Amino acid sequence: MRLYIWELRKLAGDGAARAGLCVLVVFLAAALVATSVARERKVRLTEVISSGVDASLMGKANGWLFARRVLDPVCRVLVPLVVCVVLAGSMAGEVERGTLGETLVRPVPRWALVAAKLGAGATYAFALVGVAALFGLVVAPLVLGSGPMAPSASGSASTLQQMAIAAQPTGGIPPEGAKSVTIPTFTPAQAAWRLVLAHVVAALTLAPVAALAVAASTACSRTGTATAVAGGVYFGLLALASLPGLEGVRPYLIVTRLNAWTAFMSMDIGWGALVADAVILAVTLCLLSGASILMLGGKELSPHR
Amino acid sequence: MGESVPLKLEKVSFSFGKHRAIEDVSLEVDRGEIVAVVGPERSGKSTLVRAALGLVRPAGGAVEVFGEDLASSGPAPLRRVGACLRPPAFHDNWTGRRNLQYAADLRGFRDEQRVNWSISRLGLGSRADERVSGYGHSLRQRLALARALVGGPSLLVLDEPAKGLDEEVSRRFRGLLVRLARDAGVGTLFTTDSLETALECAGRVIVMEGGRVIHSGPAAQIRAAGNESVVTLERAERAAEELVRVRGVAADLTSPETIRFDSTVDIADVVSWLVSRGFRLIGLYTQQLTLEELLVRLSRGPLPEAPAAAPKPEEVSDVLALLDDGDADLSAFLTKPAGTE
Repeated sequence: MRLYIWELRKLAGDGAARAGLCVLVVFLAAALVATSVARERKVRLTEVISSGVDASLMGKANGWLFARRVLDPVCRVLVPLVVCVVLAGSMAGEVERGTLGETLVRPVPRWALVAAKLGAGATYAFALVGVAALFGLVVAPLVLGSGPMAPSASGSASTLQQMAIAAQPTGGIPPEGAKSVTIPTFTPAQAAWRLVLAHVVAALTLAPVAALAVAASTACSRTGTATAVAGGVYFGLLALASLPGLEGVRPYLIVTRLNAWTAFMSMDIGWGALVADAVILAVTLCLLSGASILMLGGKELSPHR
Repeated sequence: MGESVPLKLEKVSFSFGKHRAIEDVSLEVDRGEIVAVVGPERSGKSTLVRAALGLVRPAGGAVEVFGEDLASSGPAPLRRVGACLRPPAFHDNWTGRRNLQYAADLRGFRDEQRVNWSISRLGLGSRADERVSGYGHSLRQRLALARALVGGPSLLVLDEPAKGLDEEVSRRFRGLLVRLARDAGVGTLFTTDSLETALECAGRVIVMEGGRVIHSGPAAQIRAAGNESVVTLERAERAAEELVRVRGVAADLTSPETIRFDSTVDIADVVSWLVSRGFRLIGLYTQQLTLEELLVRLSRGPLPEAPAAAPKPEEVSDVLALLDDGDADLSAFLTKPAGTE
C-alpha cells in the first residue's frame, strides 16, 4: 500500500500525466462549447428529418446526451491514448533515469513494484474518467440543461425514427390529429444514475489498458519504444475489431469489452453480458500483470556504460 | 550462534553479451570491516557492486547477504543493506528530503529522525528541502550517501562514494565509515579508483583489473610495499652508481637530480651514507604508490606479506582524529525503532 501511494505521488508530479489531464479537459470543454453553439441548429435539423416524432427527444442536446456521446470517444480513444503515453514511462522511464535500480535495492520485491505501478496507473485512468464524468454529469447539465434521454447506444435520428414508425398501429402513418409519437425514454433521474454507472464501468474497463501500458513499459528499455508498442497494440486491436470476418475473435479483444458501459444506455440492462465482459477483462488484466512481473524479474540492471 | 557474514561473494562471474565483466570474483565483508575494491575504469567494480545487490544475476557463483543466497531468497536480505550506485539517480522533481523519506519508507522506516540524521551528517542542511533538479554533482553525491545511511543499515555497499565530493566532505564521510565500523559494527564494501582513498580508511583492499581480482590483502600490506622515498641531490647519477657498486642498494635514477628508493630500503641509512660521501642533499620525501604503479608492481609478482600485528589503539584514534571531527552523534543511527529489525 505504501508503495502504491508513492507511485501515485510519482504520477502526480509527472509532467506527462498533468499534460494528459489538460488535454482531456481541453477536449471536453471544446466539445461542450461546440455542443452548446450547435444546439439550436441541431434541433431544427432533427425536426425536419423526423417529422412526427417528439423533437424534444431528438438531437436537442442536453447534459445527459452530451455525457453519453463524449463517453465513447473519451473512453475508447482519448483516455487509452493518454494512459499509453503516460504509463509507457512508468518502468522504462525509471530504467532510463536509473531510479529503478535505486528502488529495487531498498529492497522492493519486483512483483510489488509492478502491482503498485499498475494500481497507480489504473487510478490515473479512473481519475481521467472521473473528470469526464464531472463534465458530463455536472457541468454539461448546468450549461445545456437536463432532460429525458432516449435509450440505445446510437441515438441516431434514423434509428429513433424507425422505432417511432414501428410503434405506429397503422404501419407508419401517424393517426389523424396526432401531433407526435413518443418512444420509451429515461427520465432525468434514470438518465443520471445510468450514466453514473456507465462512467464507473467505463473506468474499470480501462484497467487492462493501464496493464497493457505497464507491460509495454516493462518490456522496453526506452519510453519512446514502450509508447509505440502500447499504443500500437491498443489501436491495432481497435482497428482489428472493425474488420469484417473476425466475428469469432472480436468478443475477446480488449477493445470490444470497453463497450461495456453501453449496456446502461439500453432499456434492458444486460447484466449477464456485463458479467461476461468483467470476467474477460479480469483475465486480460491478470495475464498482462503476470507478464510484467515475469519480465521485470528477468531484467538486468547493469551499470550505465 | 554468531551472525552470518554480512556479504559473501563466491566465484561470481557476469558477462555483458560476449564481454566478461567480472570473472571468478570471491570476497567477504565481515561485521565492522571496511573493504575497498580498487581498480581503473572498466575493471568490473560497478558490476561487482550490482551483483552484490542483486541487480544483475551472476552467470556463475553465489552471492550471500547475511547468510542468505540472493538468488533463492529474493531481495529480503537487502533490507539491512545501504546502497549507493553510480551515478546516483533520484526523482528530480522531488526534494532531497522526499527522496530520503521514500528510501526510508521502502525499508520500513517512517522515523523522521533518521532522515534528519542523514541530512545533518552529510551537511545537506536547508538544501534538502529544495528540488533535486537544482542540485550540483557534489550535492547529488552527498544525497546518495545520505540515502544509503537512512534506515541504519548493517552493511554498506557503495560504488565510488567519494566521486565528486569536495575534500572536506569526503574526509568527514570516511571518518563516519570508520566510526560506524568501530561503534556500530557496520560492514562496508566500497569501490574507488583512488588508492589513496582506499588506504586511508579500509582495513582490506582488493585490486581488480579486467574483471578479475589480482590482489586481496590487508591495506597495511600495500602501504608497506608501496611507500617510496625520493631523494633529490646533486650528481644523482654518480650517487646512484656508487650506491649500487659499494652498498648493493637498488637505486632508481628517475632524473638527473632524483633517485627513487622502494620501501625495502632503509632511507635514513642511505641518506647518511650519501652525505658522508660528500653528496649534497637538496630534498627528501616519501610517496605512496599510485594505482597505476601498483598495477605495474602486481604484474611483476605478488606483494610481500604485511606485518601481522594488529593496528594499535592509538593508531585507530589517530585515524579518527585525522578523519573525523569527533562530534558525530551515532545515537540516531544505532537506535532501532520498535517493530523494525
